[in-house]
Amino acid sequence: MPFTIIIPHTRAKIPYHLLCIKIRRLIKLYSVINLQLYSELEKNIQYFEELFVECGDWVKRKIPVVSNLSRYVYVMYIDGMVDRSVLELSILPRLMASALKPPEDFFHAPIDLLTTLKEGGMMTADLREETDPDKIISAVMSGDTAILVDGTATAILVATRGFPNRGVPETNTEVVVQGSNEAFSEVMRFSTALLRRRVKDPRMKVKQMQVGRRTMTDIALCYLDDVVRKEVLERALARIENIDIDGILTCGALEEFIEEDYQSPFPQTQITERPDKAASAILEGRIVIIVDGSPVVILIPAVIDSFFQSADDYNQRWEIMSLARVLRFASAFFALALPGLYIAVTTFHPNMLPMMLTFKMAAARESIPFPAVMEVLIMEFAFELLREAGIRLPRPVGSSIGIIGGLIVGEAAVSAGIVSPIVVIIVALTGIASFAIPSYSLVAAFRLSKFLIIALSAALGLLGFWIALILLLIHLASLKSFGLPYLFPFAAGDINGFTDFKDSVFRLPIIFMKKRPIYANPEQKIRLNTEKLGNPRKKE
Amino acid sequence: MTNTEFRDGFALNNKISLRQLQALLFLEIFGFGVTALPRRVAESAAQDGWVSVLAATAMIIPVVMIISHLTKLARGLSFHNFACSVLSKPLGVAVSLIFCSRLVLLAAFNLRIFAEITRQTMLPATPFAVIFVSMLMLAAYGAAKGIETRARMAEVLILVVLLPLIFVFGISGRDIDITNLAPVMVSPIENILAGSFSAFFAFSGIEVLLLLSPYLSRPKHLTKSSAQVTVTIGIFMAIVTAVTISRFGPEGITHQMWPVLKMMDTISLPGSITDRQGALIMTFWIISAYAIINAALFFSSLLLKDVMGRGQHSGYILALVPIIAILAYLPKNLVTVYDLHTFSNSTIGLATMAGIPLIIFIIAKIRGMKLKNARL
Repeated sequence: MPFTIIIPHTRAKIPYHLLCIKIRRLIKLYSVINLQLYSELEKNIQYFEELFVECGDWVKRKIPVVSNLSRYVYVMYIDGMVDRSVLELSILPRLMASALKPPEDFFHAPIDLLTTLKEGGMMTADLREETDPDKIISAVMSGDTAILVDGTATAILVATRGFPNRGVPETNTEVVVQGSNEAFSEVMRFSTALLRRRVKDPRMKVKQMQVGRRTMTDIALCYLDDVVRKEVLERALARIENIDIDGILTCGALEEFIEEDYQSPFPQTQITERPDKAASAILEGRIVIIVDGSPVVILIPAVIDSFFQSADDYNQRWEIMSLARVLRFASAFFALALPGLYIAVTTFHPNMLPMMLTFKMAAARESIPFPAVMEVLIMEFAFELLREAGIRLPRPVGSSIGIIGGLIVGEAAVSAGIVSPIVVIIVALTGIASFAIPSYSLVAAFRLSKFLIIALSAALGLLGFWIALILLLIHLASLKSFGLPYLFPFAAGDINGFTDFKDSVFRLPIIFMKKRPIYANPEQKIRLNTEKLGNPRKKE
Repeated sequence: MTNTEFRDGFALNNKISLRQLQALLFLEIFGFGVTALPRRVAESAAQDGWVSVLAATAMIIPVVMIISHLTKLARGLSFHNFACSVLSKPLGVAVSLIFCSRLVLLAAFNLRIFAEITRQTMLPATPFAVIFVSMLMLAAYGAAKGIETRARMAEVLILVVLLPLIFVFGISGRDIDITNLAPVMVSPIENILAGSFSAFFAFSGIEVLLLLSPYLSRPKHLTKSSAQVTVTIGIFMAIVTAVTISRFGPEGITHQMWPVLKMMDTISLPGSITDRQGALIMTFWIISAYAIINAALFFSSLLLKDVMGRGQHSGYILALVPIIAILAYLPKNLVTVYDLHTFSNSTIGLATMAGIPLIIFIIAKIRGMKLKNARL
């Protein structure tokens, strides 16, 4: 039973170790006093045992290292978070062996046990000294092993991280026809390794931080030190450092804290599960944020153009991928505007359509008991339902939901005279168009915005349709991602000499993309040196 | 949260580039200005209407250069503060209020015209107030988002306005009769000048350039940029006028209230799936109306804020919304609106576009204010 302290005025009982932690944090916060470990091992042991009381996964052992002088070390780690093979083969045997063989000058000079242990007691290069108890706790919680040494206020932290994981998984949501199928893993270190394997430049920095008072979630910011815009990096670091929350468990949660306008449905950071895409982003001067426990990473900054780019764009011929890009932009318009446009034209301006088409549509709608807007809303609701159900259901069953929903329910709705066939076509086209956009989060924003357009089109016809579009455009124009205009390069494209248009609606040959996009530091604009290439069209 | 500014002048808060300024001016002036222009110039100069437009462009260029010079001279000061420093405070306040009134009237008349035409042609069953209020609220929302958002919007919207226009006018070859423009330059010079006086007011809105000094990130080449955009607008207007006159003829065009819109509507598109280009017209019409009302609302509220010397910009926008709505609602019918609009153009419009800038320019010269002292 840990002993408790009763606060006199409130009579509240606070466990001693919690009070210790609170007081220590308070002192750290409001003073310059640097809290350190005690030099007496017993006091340190008492402190940590109070702290980890009732933590069943906490493993500790007091090991004699100079047995005849009663000099001990205290080893502690979290079970399941460490690679036991490293611990039991490289650390513990050497520590125990040193107890049998005291140093030669043992009787003549005081032993610097810390140095002795570091130099001879461990068969690993990845260790460091630490005096701050909070940092020791944080390291232990992350899978390191802490070794408290008798007679010194310094602990040795040995990197023994080894969590249960599923290795390097395959891509799931960003599948490509050609190219790598590797995806990021939930383990942060695997993700950094996947990036490092692709960018073997020591100027690629991996800045690690922790967020979350309780979860102490590891976060890594990966960027090219000389290419990244320092302003963006400073903003990102400041925003992450200012997060004071009990826990961050996903990339999505972190995204909301770091983006400029969290109220907007439009994503201002990009999410990817592909290491090649993230590595490409790093080369462009962007920052990749890895959140431990999340199988996707965040790319910042992100302008609207980046959501239309796919990893496959650079695996295939530029001509066909340019066509794909144009299709994606057209799809975005359809996904956003098609239902609203249909409602506006059929309800308010049928005379805009050719006579035959107007008659056909009128004939199809003759027996429908609802106005066009209700028809569209019914079908949109059904489609959203199918989409949501398709995600929740196990994969083999998910496809049957599509068949049942798309074919049977759609056909039955038309036969029953609830909706007209043209509305089924419109909603199906809208749905298909939304799947052609590579970014899921942008599609989600379009799905939501679509209903605004539907509502205003139903109220004011084409005027409402355009008002809704302009409203959305005003909103998009007001957005920024880490200071960069969201509508770049369609707005403010001149700042980078319009070069970003080379990889925008069209994907020009890579040989034309000599300059880095807007994300890069202006002093590091050139990424392709064509001097040695000469004129690629000239045959030798 | 840090607010580190970007070293390459990018994303500076509340600053716009000269290219963005050009886009803003083009959108504000060209859209609404061009819709009735061919009729107005053809009434005076018949088939030589396009010459009148070019003459008006030549007339507006010195005005633009004076305004640009003053904007640079303002050294980032707001127009109100600059006017006070040149003319003394009471006169500065009076000039600011004149500008504010001009912009409020511009917004109100254009709003009324927009609502009337939209109701007549597209939404006959929709209550007048609904069209009215929806456009005004949209313009207010856009204005409240600030100059940066307006500038980025302009860069995107300019494509949305120009592409349908270029498309329609590009394929209008088989519908036009070039002989309608002949004989060239036979109209009396006074008729051409009268036409150019009408065309001069198609450039209404150019005076907002005077209010942009605090928002320009690099105003060094402002004169060149603003002259460029004015010439471009003038050439576009002349082409549109020439094509529209050749489509309807110098006589026929005078019977069309909005010849440019009518032309868009009636041109037969080869292989088109639409019988009428209603969507194109609505695109052009709504965006043009939005651009001018939004600009007028933005700058008038800004002037009011400067004159009052306190409060939030968005608060003044909200305050001006009902005033513009009432002013737009007051005229009995469209004819009255046109009469009032023409009257306000030839009085307060002429004062703000040419008179006041010229007076400020002369006084600034007398007081020895020079560009070399200005921070560019």
